[in-house]
Amino acid sequence: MCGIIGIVLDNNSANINPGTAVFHGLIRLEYRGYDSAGVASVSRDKLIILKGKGRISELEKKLCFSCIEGDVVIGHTRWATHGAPSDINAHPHSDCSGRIAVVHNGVIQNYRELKKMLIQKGHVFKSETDTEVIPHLVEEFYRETNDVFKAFVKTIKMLEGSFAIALITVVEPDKIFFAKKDSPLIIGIGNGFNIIASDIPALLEYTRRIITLRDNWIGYITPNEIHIIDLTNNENVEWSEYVRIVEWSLEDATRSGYPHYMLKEIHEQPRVLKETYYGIREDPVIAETVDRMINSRNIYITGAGTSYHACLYFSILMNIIGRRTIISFVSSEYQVYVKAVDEQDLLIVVSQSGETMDSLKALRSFKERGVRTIAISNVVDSAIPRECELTIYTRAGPEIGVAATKTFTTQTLTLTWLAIAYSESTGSITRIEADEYRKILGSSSELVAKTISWNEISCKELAKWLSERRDMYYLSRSIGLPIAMEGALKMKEIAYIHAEAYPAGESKHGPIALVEEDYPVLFIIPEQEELEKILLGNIQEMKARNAVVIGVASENTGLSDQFNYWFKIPSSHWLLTPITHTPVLQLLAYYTAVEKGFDPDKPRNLAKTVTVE
Amino acid sequence: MKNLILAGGRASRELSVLIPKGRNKVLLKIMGKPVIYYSLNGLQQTVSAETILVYRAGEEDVYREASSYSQTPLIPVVQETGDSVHEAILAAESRLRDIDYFFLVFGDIIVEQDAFTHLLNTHLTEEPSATILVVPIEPRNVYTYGLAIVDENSFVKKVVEKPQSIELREPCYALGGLYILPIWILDKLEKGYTLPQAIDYLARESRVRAVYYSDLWIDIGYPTDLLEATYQLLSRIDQQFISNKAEIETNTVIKGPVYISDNVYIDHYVVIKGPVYLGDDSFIGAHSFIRHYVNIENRVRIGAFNEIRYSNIQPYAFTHSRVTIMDSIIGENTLFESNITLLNVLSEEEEPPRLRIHIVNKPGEKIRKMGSVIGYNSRISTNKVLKPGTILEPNTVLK
Repeated sequence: MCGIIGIVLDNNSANINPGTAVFHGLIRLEYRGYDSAGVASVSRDKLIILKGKGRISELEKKLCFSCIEGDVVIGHTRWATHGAPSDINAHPHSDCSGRIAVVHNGVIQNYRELKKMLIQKGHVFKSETDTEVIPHLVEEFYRETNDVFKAFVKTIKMLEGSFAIALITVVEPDKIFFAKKDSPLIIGIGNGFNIIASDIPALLEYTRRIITLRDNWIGYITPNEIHIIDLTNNENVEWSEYVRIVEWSLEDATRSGYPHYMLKEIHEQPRVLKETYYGIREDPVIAETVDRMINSRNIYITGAGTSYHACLYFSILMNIIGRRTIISFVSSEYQVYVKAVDEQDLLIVVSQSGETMDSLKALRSFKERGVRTIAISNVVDSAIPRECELTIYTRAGPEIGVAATKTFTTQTLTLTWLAIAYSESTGSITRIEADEYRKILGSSSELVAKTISWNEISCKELAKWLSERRDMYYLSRSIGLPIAMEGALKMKEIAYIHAEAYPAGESKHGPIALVEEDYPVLFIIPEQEELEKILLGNIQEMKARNAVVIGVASENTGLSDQFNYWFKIPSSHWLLTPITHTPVLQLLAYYTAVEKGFDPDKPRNLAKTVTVE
Repeated sequence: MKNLILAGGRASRELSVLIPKGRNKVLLKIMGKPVIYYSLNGLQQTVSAETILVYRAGEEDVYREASSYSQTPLIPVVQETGDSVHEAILAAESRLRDIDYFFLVFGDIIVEQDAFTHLLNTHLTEEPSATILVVPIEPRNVYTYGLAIVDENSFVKKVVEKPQSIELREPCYALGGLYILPIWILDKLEKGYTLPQAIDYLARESRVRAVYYSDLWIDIGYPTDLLEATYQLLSRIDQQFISNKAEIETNTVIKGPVYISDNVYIDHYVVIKGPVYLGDDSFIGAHSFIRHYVNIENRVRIGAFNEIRYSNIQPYAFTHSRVTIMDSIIGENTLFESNITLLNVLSEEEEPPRLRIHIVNKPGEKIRKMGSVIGYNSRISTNKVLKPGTILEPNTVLK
């Protein structure tokens, strides 16, 4: 996904700075992609393009998008599909003469043929993107027709695939040309200006009158005019019939109807897991990472909060399938570990934001001793990826709720993939097993969708009771332990219930002393027969003390009659436990917080990114 | 766009005992208002368009009562034949033909207004072929709803009507009873498609956007739904409101959130623990104990020494002294003589009637509860004890 925006205004009648408008719009579109960004304008008969790799706010500091001159400005925020994130591949793209600039969201399927044809005609391409064929095609056809709009229409007719396109040119500097097919595009109508954008939040600051463009519509906007043609019948579109007034607040618009960002992000998991899965399949960094892991003496993995739970999960998984000990530690404790490391060792840093101060400190002190470093992050070009030798990116998209949800499941998906790749390379699992595991991972999106739809109402129901509790335990064993810890963290951080996680076997060494009648004890049960057998004993210990036993277990579990309350997880493979079981714990914490009247998006005393030690 | 409200739906057998002849389930009362008020109000607050009301021949009360809550005159359409939703929509066909989309709402849904707003805004801004509300449901209840299978981008993949298998194998949500549909769906309905089949067709041929909603949503189909709606709506009372036309004797204790309407009379030594709603002209006799989640409608008379908890009592019901009512629904114009108990604790072996499950086996609650549903115009003589889960037909006289 990418986001595009463009504004054209009449300087005399609209009191808007177009550079600022585009910059603000890009920030609102950042959820659609944020590995690179750029803007273009026409000023004094010249095309200006500012673009680069990195986040919009960073690029703003470096290039100052909002300072761009001109009354017609387009912008783009990118999520790489064709061509890696780089300064060159960032949009806008221009033609050979430097008179046309284009931003595009979508995929041009026939770009290879078009590019070949254009190169034969002498066009010079600068980037690896599919988008660049568009300005060159318009340039080519403009030579023939001497009419920008005709050239633009001819170009669009040649494109196969999906697109939302905005184009500006020095030849007609008061117009933004646009076309839409299968990718969203909306016009915002103003007084003395018009805006075009991929989504409503990007233009809501300036206008509430919008037109949602239909497929195969093509046209241009000027400060005071909108012209649209329907390519299916080549007739003019009476656009006034399609004008709507948006009554959403900006915040409503970005929450897409969900009462809180956290719930929206929990529900986004099926989609982002799929995107992460497809992204990681193609990622060459995995092979390099495996290579470095094999050639390292000791491997350390570190993170803070939820990311640490992903680290712990990885080290347990690597013991089970990779037969390799990985030392996982909480990043703020780095000084304990740093004394024993040198250049033969490897550190993997897991951080959603890539800016977590504790993890950054750990990374820097390990690097000082020559340790090689790899980052796993959700934010392109943030501090930790910048300072690491290699980075594997998760594709969870921006997470606004303070409590991590979709970033945890995408981190564990990524780390599971890495563990499989390592284990296959070292021979601790066979190729056939590895393929089987990868196939299982591919089903995670669908399984999470089922988990959520099967359990949401039950979570809401149980939350009424949990909201009156002060304490609870989360117990599990083996691969389920980090999930229990993650569940307890969620309950603490947003519902303010004192929740502790333990290995189930540990409870009789102390914690069970607190258990009394009606004490909630939640068991995470990975789908493994041997584990179920051992956990049965632990469950009975709790039942004997009249605790309320809540089970998060497969639909095929043999323990169902042991639970007072059973959250049914679709049957899969134990390897998927963090992905299939965690959404229930997230929903449970979410609804408990809501039931208690707290805002789950803004828990007290917490910030989304912890940039202090 | 036009608004279309369907108010001719048949009740389940268990719920129908509460509905007098010539009336409809959408007229059952919660907090002084008929069920249809909640959807009508939500719709009209969101879309200022002509509103068509479809009701059944012989049920003119529906039109009369709905009109008293409507902001604009309702256009009445009488459904002469058929029991199904698509027949109800087709009854209004001639009123719909001149528009592109219509906002279809089931009159027996209780839902917050923001569900309407989100649906409309999503439809206007994304312009899919149709936009429908979907809600999460308890998997054990899937067989009681029409279901939408939704993809990861919130588009409907397919629609399934009340599946027989309780364990549906795909992630699914219930159809929420709020739809924005293109007018050409009428052509499909004319060919005999049911509404879910027509939406299923739309979803396969074009884009049907599902708008997800997880706040208050109840489809009034079974008595347990009415109790759940009572519970949910009473939970939303957040203060004590006592009409200055109400008369409350000394030594009465009122705690927690309550809504006490005009001309209510509360006798000496009554204890009320909210949330409780007391409708216009209702009467609470001396020493009665009205506990939480009790909805008492207009002109109900509760005798002395009654105890009531988690129940909905419809208008004109009358109890003599020493009556215990828990987890129950009492139909209109019923009469309880003295010393009557509606038992509500199910034994371990006892299965509750096959109703939609809202709250069963809440952790911490060691016992399962379900009271009685007493049909309208019934009369129960003195010293009776009714078993949990009793459903009494209308006009019954228990001697």
